[in-house]
Formats: sequence, structure tokens, C-alpha cells
Amino acid sequence: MSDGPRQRGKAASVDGDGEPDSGKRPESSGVALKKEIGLVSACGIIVGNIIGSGIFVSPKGVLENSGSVGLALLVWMATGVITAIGALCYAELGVTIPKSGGDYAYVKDIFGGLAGFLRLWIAVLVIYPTNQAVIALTFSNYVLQPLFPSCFPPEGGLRLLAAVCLLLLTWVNCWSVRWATRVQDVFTAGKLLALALIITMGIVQICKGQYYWLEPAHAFETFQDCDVGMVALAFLQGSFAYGGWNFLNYVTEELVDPYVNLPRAIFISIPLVTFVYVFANVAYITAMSPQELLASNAVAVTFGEKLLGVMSWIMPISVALSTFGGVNGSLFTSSRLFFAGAREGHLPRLLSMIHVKRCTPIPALLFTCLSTLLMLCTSDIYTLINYVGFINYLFYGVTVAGQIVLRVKQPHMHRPIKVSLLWPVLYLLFWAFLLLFSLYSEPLVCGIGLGIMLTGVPVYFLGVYWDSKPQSFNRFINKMTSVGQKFYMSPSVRLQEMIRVIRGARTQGEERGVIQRECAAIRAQFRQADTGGRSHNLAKLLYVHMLGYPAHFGQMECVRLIASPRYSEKRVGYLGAMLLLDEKQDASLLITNSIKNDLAHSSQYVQSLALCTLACMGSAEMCKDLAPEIERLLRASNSYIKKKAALCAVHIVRKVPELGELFTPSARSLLSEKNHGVLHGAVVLITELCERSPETLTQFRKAVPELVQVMKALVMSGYSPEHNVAGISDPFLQVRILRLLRILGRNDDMASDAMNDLLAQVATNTDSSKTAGSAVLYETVLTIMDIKSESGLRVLAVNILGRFLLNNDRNIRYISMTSLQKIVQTDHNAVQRHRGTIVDCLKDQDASVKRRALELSLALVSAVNIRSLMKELLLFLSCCPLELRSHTASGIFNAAERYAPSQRWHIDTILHVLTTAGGDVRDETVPNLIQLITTATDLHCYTVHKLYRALVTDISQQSLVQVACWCIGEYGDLLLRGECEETEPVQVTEDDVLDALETVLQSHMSAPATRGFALTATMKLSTRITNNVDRIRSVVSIYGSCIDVELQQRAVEYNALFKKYDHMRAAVLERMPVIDKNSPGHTNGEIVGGTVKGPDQTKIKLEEGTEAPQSAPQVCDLLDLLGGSDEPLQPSPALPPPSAPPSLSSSAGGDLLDLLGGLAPPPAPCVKVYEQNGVTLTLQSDRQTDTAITVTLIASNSSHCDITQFTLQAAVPKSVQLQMKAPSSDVIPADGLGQVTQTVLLNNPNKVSLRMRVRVSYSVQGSTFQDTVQIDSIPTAACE
Amino acid sequence: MAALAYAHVLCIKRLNTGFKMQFMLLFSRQGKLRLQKWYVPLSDKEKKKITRELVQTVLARKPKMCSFLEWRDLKIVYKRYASLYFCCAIENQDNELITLEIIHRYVELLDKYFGSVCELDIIFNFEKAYFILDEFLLGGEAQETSKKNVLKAIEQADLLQEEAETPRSVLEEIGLT
Repeated sequence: MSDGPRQRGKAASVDGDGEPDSGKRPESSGVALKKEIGLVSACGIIVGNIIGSGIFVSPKGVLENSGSVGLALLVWMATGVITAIGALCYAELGVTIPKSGGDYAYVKDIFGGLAGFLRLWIAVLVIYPTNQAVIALTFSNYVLQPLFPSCFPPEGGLRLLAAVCLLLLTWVNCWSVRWATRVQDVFTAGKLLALALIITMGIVQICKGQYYWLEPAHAFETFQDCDVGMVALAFLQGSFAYGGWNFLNYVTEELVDPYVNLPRAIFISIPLVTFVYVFANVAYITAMSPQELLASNAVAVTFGEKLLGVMSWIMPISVALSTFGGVNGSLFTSSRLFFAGAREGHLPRLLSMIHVKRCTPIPALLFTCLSTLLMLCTSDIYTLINYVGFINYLFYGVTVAGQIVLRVKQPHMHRPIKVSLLWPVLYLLFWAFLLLFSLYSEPLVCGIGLGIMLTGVPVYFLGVYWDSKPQSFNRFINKMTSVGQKFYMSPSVRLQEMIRVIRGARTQGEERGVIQRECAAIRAQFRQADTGGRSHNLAKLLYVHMLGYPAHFGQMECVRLIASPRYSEKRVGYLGAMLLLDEKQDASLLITNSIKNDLAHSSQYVQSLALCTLACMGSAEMCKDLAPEIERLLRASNSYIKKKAALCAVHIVRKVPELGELFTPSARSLLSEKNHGVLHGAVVLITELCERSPETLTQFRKAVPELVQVMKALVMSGYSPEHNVAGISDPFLQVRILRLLRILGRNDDMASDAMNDLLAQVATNTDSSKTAGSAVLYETVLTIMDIKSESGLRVLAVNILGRFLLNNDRNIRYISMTSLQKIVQTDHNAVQRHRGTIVDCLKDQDASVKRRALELSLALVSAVNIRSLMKELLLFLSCCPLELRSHTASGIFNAAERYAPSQRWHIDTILHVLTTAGGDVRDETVPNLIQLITTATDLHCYTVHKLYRALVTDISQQSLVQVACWCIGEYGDLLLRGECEETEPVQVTEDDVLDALETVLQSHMSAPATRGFALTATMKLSTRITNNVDRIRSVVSIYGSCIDVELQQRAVEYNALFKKYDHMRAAVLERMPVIDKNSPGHTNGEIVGGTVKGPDQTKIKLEEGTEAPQSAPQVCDLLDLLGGSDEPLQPSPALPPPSAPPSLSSSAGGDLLDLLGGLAPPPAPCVKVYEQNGVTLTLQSDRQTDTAITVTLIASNSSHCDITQFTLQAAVPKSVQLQMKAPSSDVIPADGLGQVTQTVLLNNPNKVSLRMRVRVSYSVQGSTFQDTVQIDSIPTAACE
Repeated sequence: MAALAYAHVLCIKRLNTGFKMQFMLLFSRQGKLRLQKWYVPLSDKEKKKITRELVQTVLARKPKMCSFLEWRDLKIVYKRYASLYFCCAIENQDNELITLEIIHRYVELLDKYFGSVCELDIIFNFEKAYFILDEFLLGGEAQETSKKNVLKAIEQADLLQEEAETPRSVLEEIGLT
């Protein structure tokens, strides 16, 4: 049967007072907030929903129509299967269209308004009334049957009793929601009792051997003609008992992992129901013959009479109870449908009204009751079942068809559950069979059903579709509504209902619409200023406000409600004030007077409201006005008010510190209070006062012994249930007192002395296994650390923190880490003792604890423990969460740099980090490491071997690969020689090395910068190996056409180095000098600055390897083997601080461009020394030290033909040493397309005046020119 | 925008001078706000911004993580009870563990009041949840350390409210008394 579509639980149904829901699970802490429903509870709810009084009604109908016991049982099973299929289809719909209202919502969404309306119409007019009629009739059958042991009870009596039952329940439902739910709870037990009895008895019977009718031979013995049409009717009867399954989607809302569990719940619960039903029928059959069963009007009663003997009365009573509850449930939930309909505008508003005070949907209940009474008069129970079964099925089919339609129409809609299309198709086939044959065998009943349904069509078009209804009609409807309102009905928008509607909104837009409508209504009612329901309206507005919608228009209403004489309105008014007003708003001033009045109110609860509001949102002005009142209340006799006044005073002192003096005397006297609340308030107040004023602090230092006494009493007191939290006596108060002691003892020896003993006592006696105890201990530790405590006490405190580290609770471990970190600077040694535990915490599961442990471990690293600690840190690095990696890596680098015991260890550590977390290290790691490697001259061989092996194993860690490439390029000869005593001798061939580098070059994992490193390394190798230079040449030339411009440029340069400048390749590619990281003038900024200043100062300097100190810290500079910025020595005070290091490619690229074509403009601080035949020679000089000067000669060609064989020769006075570098080229391209530069280094130890003679010779189109230029003074402007 | 955010941080900083609880938020696992209590004066806009940011931060944390996090210059203490997160912001000097106890105490109170409370109770009776909070905390400090006293006070106040709403009790109306 179905009690109509019954909703599970109460909180989700029409019950407004939000009683707790079923399906709760207690939490381990003893406090339960309802968890989502688990699988088991979900099954319970579905089973409870489906199994109803139908099983006491339908067996007769099923047996009668199916014609034999066996077939009847088959029908029961088949119905179960079909129900499960239907439920699956509904599950998909339910999660695809998450909207309350069940079938109605689905049909309306898929097939449009008319179909939805028809579903509603039929539910309201037929399904609910018929359901209730059937159950009510069953009820009276079961009540009356025992009174007429030998015959059927009279028809009239039956109907009369059913009507009485119905009227009674309607009245209860109209009276109180609470009562209605209680009835539901009590009577649900009835059906469970009856069913359990029946099944148990059935099993007993079978064990006794009473199963004559179950034997296959007898089971299919037909007692009437078997007819397909009749079987269809049997299905209709059976499905009545399974009714209610279509509401299982309500479970979805709170199910854990609904998309997995909902189908599971269906597969568990529906077979379970089927099992129960089939067994109940089996039980019936064991007790009586089919004929007896058919003759009985109340199967279970007959069953009880046959088997239970004197206890037979139990059966009719429990079934009667069950059915009674069934009628109640149906009545109870029918109103939900009315709400849904009225919300969509499909039903008149009147029907969705509820009584203002009782909160019951009286019009809807009366309407349902009336139509049920009509149903009662028409026909007998089984016809009614056929009737409702047919109509119900009709719409199940339509809904399932809707699922298929939706699949076709919106194939890409998000469907969290997607069942195979086979199921709906199967369902529809069965559906068609059922409808056709039942129509065929009961044309009249089904026809009437269809007819009633069709009457909905004109109603829909007249009432819903037709927008421009005549005035009179609208007036009539409005009149009806206002008549309803006169009878204390309100539109169905009381607070809970509004919340439900808002929660039911499917989209943000829908929600906004609902809220806008509500807000408009609330605003209108605020304006009307009638007294009823004002607090309700404000409460609604507060809910809307919490959802984040504007609610400022309620501010004045708060002010008004606060001034109201009624407590209920004041309470909501003050709540509203705390939420909607803040001290910046003018409206808040308006409530000052009301608060003042309420503070003097006779009821302490009104006073409490005022105090609470003042403490929450009182502005400075308000505080000034009301401080005397509060001070008066502090001296009141009532401790309830006193504790609130104390905290209110705290707020006032925070806002207006000057007012502190006002409260000081009363605060002092409050310390002698016994009530914990007041004491707590007093301690907080004194803390606040002491924090604000040093005089008060001195004054209250005298109270230390008193506080110590109070605290001692707390610690030593026995168990007091009122204040006990996990074995700690009032931890809240203890914590506050300890905090006050901390402030009093800070920087004061005497006060600190007075509390030393107490702190030791608390520290040793408090049990730290629970949070409450730990909180007290933690506060104690903070106090010990803050006051002038004895050293023993401090050690004790650190030990407490150490113990915390071993605690199971990760919160406590975290706290401990945080506190240890704070004191690690001051009590380094004490913390150091817990190093082992701290390091263990690196393995903690909680990422926050890990982070803390890491920070602490890094802080604990020292020269003594670095080796062991670093091992742990490296281990941690290999398994730590990604977000901690870079932090760990840089921490390790810093620690290694500070405390490295040896260079080799240092290099090993960094290499280790690079191998495990190469992707997460900072950019400067590579140059830093390279610098480190170059300085460790005796480790070159070791390092290059190690790096080579690392490179061969893994080329994905970019920074590692970069360093490895650099080292292989630099120390390739050492690698190939293979004589390295520290590693096992591995013979590496030239091909191996080149292979490795080529792999890096070709790998898709390599970053462009890495390829640059690899290419340069390959190039450098060309001077360090003997045989494979051709291979290198080909590699380099391949990259001459690389798509990466940077790489291409580099390759082209190297190519040029191979071809044109082969003679100086060896010099160019010589080993880098040791980089001195700390030499002045080598900081990042200046080098960057030099680059920023412009490429005009960059010149080719081929021997940079030998003279110009190479700049280390920038990757780009290292890459710039050729085009390097050779200006690091130039002091550049005039440079603006560089904003950001230029990106690798831009700076390096820029330099390289110079090398190739000299696109750069002539240098700015330079002198033109020669100009003839289009050849211009400019001179530029940099003073590097007092004696050394670098002179750069730049020649350019503005004529239209190339200048070849360009050479420069220079002569200087004897005391000056001159060193000419190689020119950048001997050809100057025509039309200023390029330049030739040549650097001259001058050393002028005697500081004579510098003169220079330069001979320029070149040939233009075959003719040779030669000129000498005398330069009498070298300009030095550039060096300033 | 950045300037605004900065001004906001300043605002919090200015207030951050003691041990006071700054605000308390209750929100669901879906990020829906269920209750908010502010003990510092902030504009609606700021409140919304803070709420949004915090809800995101807290929801992103894994269950294995501890209940504390540092956020701006405040400490956030949160705890999840079933589908609800209880989240408090306290100042730097404050004791996180006792704040956890305060949250737990509030949950216990709700539980006692509603009789094994669930999220729906708090949704549909949010005003009751506020009343209970106001009876337990005042201006961001615990005002009563005894559970019994808080519940007693709430019951009394509820009675007072019912009296104000319905002059006669339901039983009287039925005629049972």
C-alpha cells in the first residue's frame, strides 16, 4: 500500500518545528550533529516508506485476480522487480532535476506546464483522497471484523467508521503539527509489529510442515479462469502495496556519496521489501486456503484467529494502528504538494495557507478531507485500488518516458547517475501491457480515472494559462484569499516555509527570484506597521541577510522591535540589531535609549538582551553613555546579570580605555565571587584593565595571592560535575586566570615569585590527554615563558611542549611546534633536547605539523648536529608534500652554507637536493653551485664524475642537468681521464659524454636554458677531447638552424668559432677562473645594471677567461661565453637600481646580437678619433683602477662598400704597458651595418699622461689605405 | 582593489590588540553560511569578503590537517562537526586549544537544546542558534562556564517568549487543564 507519498523524516517534511531527523549517528565525542545518511539508514528509510498498511489490504485482491497461489506469488515478485526498475529510472531523474515535488516537478520540467498540472490535479483529486479512503476503509475493516466473527461487518458501518477516523485525524492535523508527527511515530510501530508477527508465524508454520498450498502441484491449481486482463489487475493491486517508492529521491539530499549509494540503496531495499511481501503472503497461505483468504475481508485478522488463539486480538489492533497512522501520514504530506502547486501558480493561494498560530495548513487539510469523504461514498476498496493504481501507473509511465525524452532532448545534460536505457524501455513495455489490459478488463473504472484526469485540461487553460482573466474572477480569488486571512490564515510564508522554498530553489536565479519576492512582501508589511508577525518578518529578513542579500531596510524595524514591550519582539529585534546594525550606522544611535531602558528592566532576560547587544556592537559613543549603568549592574546582586555586565565592561574598556578607572574598584571586589561565570568575567575585565593602564597593573599585582588562591582551589578541588570538562575543573576559568597571572607577572619579580609554586603545581598535575587539559597546560607554558620564572620551571615548560609533541592529537602537536619555534631563540638548548621528537614529526601525516616541524628542524641545525639532521631533512625532502619542497630545499641550502663541515659534503648535499627536488629549487641555485664547484679545485674530478653519472641516470631535473652540463663542459678532460680516486674508476669514452649531452639537447624535457648549457658544454668539449671534434662540429652546425633563436644564435657563433676563428678557439674555451663570490663589484645588481645600461658597452673580449673576472651569480652571464658583459669591474654609481633581473634570453640575446652584427649605436661617452673614406674610429675608455685603463676602439663603416683587411695598431709611451686584444673582425660591412671593435688594455703604473698613437690600415675595393692617429688624451669621462 | 584590501588588513590590525575572539562563522561543507557572529565592527562588504575567503581556505584543507591556521594576522580555529564547520578567528595571543573547547561547548549546547542537533535544525532555527550563542559568549568571551546554567537561561527565555506569543498554552486551549 502506500500512505501516499510519505516523506522521510520530519525535518524534510512539512513539520515546521524542525524536530531532529531520524538517521542520526552519534559522534565519538558524544556530541552528534546529524551526519549525512549512510547506506544502511537510507535503506531503512526507503523500506519504511514502502512497507505500509498495503500488505494487509492487497493480498486478497492479488490472489483474486491472479487466480492461483503460485501466480499470485509470482505477481508479488514481478511487482518488486518492476518497482526496482522504476526506482532506478527515478533515481536518474531525481539527481538530474534536483527539485522538490517529485514526479510533479519532473513531468512539469520535461513535458511542460499542462502535463505537470494534470499530474498535480490527479494527485490532489484522485490519488491522495483515494489512498486515504482505502486506508481508512481498511482501518474500519480491521476494527470491526473482530466484532462480527461470523459475517461481514455492515457496509454502512464500515464507511461511517472510516469517515470518523478521517475526521478525527484531520482535526489532529489542523490542531498541531507536533501532535501529527507524534501520531505518526506511535503508529508506525504498529505495522512493524504486525508484519513481524505474520512472517514469524509463517516460518513456524512451514517448519511444522503446513505448506500444502505451496507445493507446486497445488500452487498452480486455478480456482478461476486465468485471464491476462485479470493478471494485469492483480499487478495493479500488488503495486498498491509497493506505493511510495517514487519518493525515494528525497533521500538523495542528505545521502553520503549519493551517486554511488542511491542505486545501492535501491538494490538492497526493494528486494528486501519484495522478500517481506512474498513471505507475508506465504505466511497467509500456510495458515488458510486460498478460498478462506478470498472470503476474508481482513486477511490478517483471519490469520491471527487461525494461529494465535487467545492472542488473536493482537493482530487487528496492530493493523488498525498501522492503518490509522497511514491515514495520518497521507494527510500530513498531502499539504506539501499543495504548497508546491501554489508556488507554481497551479493552485489557488488559499489552499496553501497556514494558520498563523498553529502553523498548520488548514485549508489544504479540509480540502483533502472533503474529497476523501466523497471517495468513501462511491465504491468498495478494491475498485478504489484499481482506480488509483491505474492512474498512478499512468503517470509513473509518463515520468519514465520523460526520462527517455530528456535523454534525447538534452543528451549532454549532467547526469550524476546514468542508468542503461534498457531499464526505462523495459518499464515502459510492462507499463503498456498493464494499462492496455486493465483498460480492457475494467473499462469503466479506468475510464472514469482518465475522465477525471481530462477535466484538468479545461481547468488548466482557464485557470493557469489564461492570463487575462476577467476582473470578476480575480476579484473572487482575492476575496477568497482575504476571507482565508480573516480566519487567521497567512500566506504560506512563515519563516520555516520560506527557508524551505529558498532551499528548494534549483538555480541561483530562481533563489534570487524567491528572495526578491519575499523581500518585497516583508518590506510591504514593515510599512503597514500592524503588530502581528513583525518578529517573524524580521527573522525572515535575517535569514535572507545570512544568504548574502541586502537587508539594510530592516534596520529601522529592529529599532522599532527593540522598543516593543513584548519579550518575543525584543528578542528578535536585538538579534537583528546585532546582525544588521554596526556602530558606523546612525540607526545604532537610536537604540541607545532603548538599551538604557532595558538595562533597568525588571526582567533579567530583558536586561541580558540589552547587555549582550551592547557588548557586541556598542560604539564608543554608546559606551560612554551607558558605562554608568553597566557599573551599577556590576554591583547588582544577581550573578546572571553581573557576569554579563563584567564582559560588557570589557567591551567598554576596549572601546574607551579612559573609562577603565570607573570599573577598577568593582572589578577588584568581583574577585571574591564564588560563581564561576562572574569570576570569569571579572578575570577577563581585570586582564583588559591591566593591559590598558600600567597604574592599574601595579594596583592589581597586589591581587596575585588572591588569584593564586582561586586557581589553587580550582586545581585541587574534587570533581564538580557542573564545571568539569574531561576531568579538568573549569578549564575556561583556569586559562583566563593563568593569562591574567602572565600579565601581572611580566617584568615583576615579586609577582612572579608568588606564582611560581602554583605554576609548577599546575604544570605537573594537569592531565594532558584531552584538549581541555592541554589548553590549560599550554596557557601555563606561555605564562612560565613570559614571566620571570625560575629556570627549573622553564625547563619544565619546554618539557611539557616536548610531551605535547608525542600527543596523538595533531592540534596539540601543532601548538607545541608553534610555541617551540617562538622560544627556540631564547631557550635553544632546552629545545635542542627534543630534537629527536621534532625530527620525528617530519613524518607526521598532517601537512601543517610537517611544515612546523620543518621550520623548527631548520632552526635547530647547528655545526654539531648538521650531519645527522641533514640526513633526516634530505629524507624528508624525498617524501614531503610538493608545496613544502622548495621551502625545504632552500632551507637545506642555507643550513649547508652556514654549517657545512667540508666542501665535499656541501657539494654532495646540494647535488642530493638537486637529484630529488631539482624542479623546486630557486633559480640562483645553479650559479651558486657552479661557484661552489669552481672554488673546490681539488674536487673537480670527483664532482664531474658524480654529475656525469647523475646526468646519465636522469635528465629531467633541469637545474641538475644544467650544473652537470656546465661541469662536463668545463672539466670534460678530467672526466675522460677517469683517474679519480674517490669514485670507482669508470671509463668514460668521448662518445659517451657526447651522447649524454646530445640526449639533453634533444630531449623534450629540457628547458631552452638547459639546452644552452648543453650546447656550450659540447662546444667547450671541443678543446678538451681529441678525437671527436668533427662530431661536435656537426652538432653545432645542426643547431645553427634550430628553431629556438637563442640556441640558434649560439650555434651560429660557435660555428663561426670553428671556421673563422679556429685559431683562438682554444683560448676562448679555456677553463673558467675560480669565481670569487664575495669580491666587491660583483653583486648581481651591478652586473644586471651593466646589462641594462645598454649593449653599447659590450664588446667582444675573447680572452675574458684569462683576464676579466667572470661574473658568477647570473646564469645569463655564465652562458655568455662569448658575448659576455665585460663591464663587471666598472663601478656604476649612476645606475638606477635594477628593478628586476632581465630574463635570460633577453640579456644574453642582446649581447649576442652585438657580437654578430653590431646593431648597437656608437657608445655614448666616446671620442671620435678618425674619420675618412667612410671609416669612423671611435675611442672609449674605462678606468678600472688607478692605473689600469681599458680602451675600446670601435670602427664603423658608412661607405657603400665593405672594408676589408682592417687592422689597428697602437703605440703608447714606454712606461705604459699595452696589451692589444684580438679584433672582433677584419671586415667592416658597408652602410654602417656592422662594426669592428678591438680592446686595448693599458697599464699605467707611473700615472704618466696617457697618449696613444693608433695606426689604421684597411682596404676598400682593392685599394689600401693607411693612416696614423695621434690621441693625446684618453677621455676618462666614462669612468665617472 | 589592492588599496582596498590593504586598508582592510590595516583595519583588522588596528583591532588586533588583545585576546579577543573576532568572529565566529558556521558554514556547511558546500560553503553555505549558516551562522555568523561578528565581535568587531566591519562593513557588510568586508564581512562578505572575509567570509568568502575563509570558507574557501578552510574547505580546501584536508581532513588530516590540524584545526588551526594562520590567516592574515589572525589565527583561525575550526572544527568540523558532521557537515558543519565551526570556525573562529582569534587574535595572536589567544589560546587555540581553549577556543576549540569553546566551539565544542557550543556544539554541546546546541546538541542538548535541539536533542542531537543536525544541520537542518540550525538552518530552520537559526535564530535559536543565535540565542544560544549569545547566552554562551558575550562580546567574544565565554560568559558562563557551566553548561547547565546556559541551558537553564535559554529555557527560561524561551518560556518568556512563548508567553509573549501565545497568551495561553496549548493544553489550556484544548481544555485539559
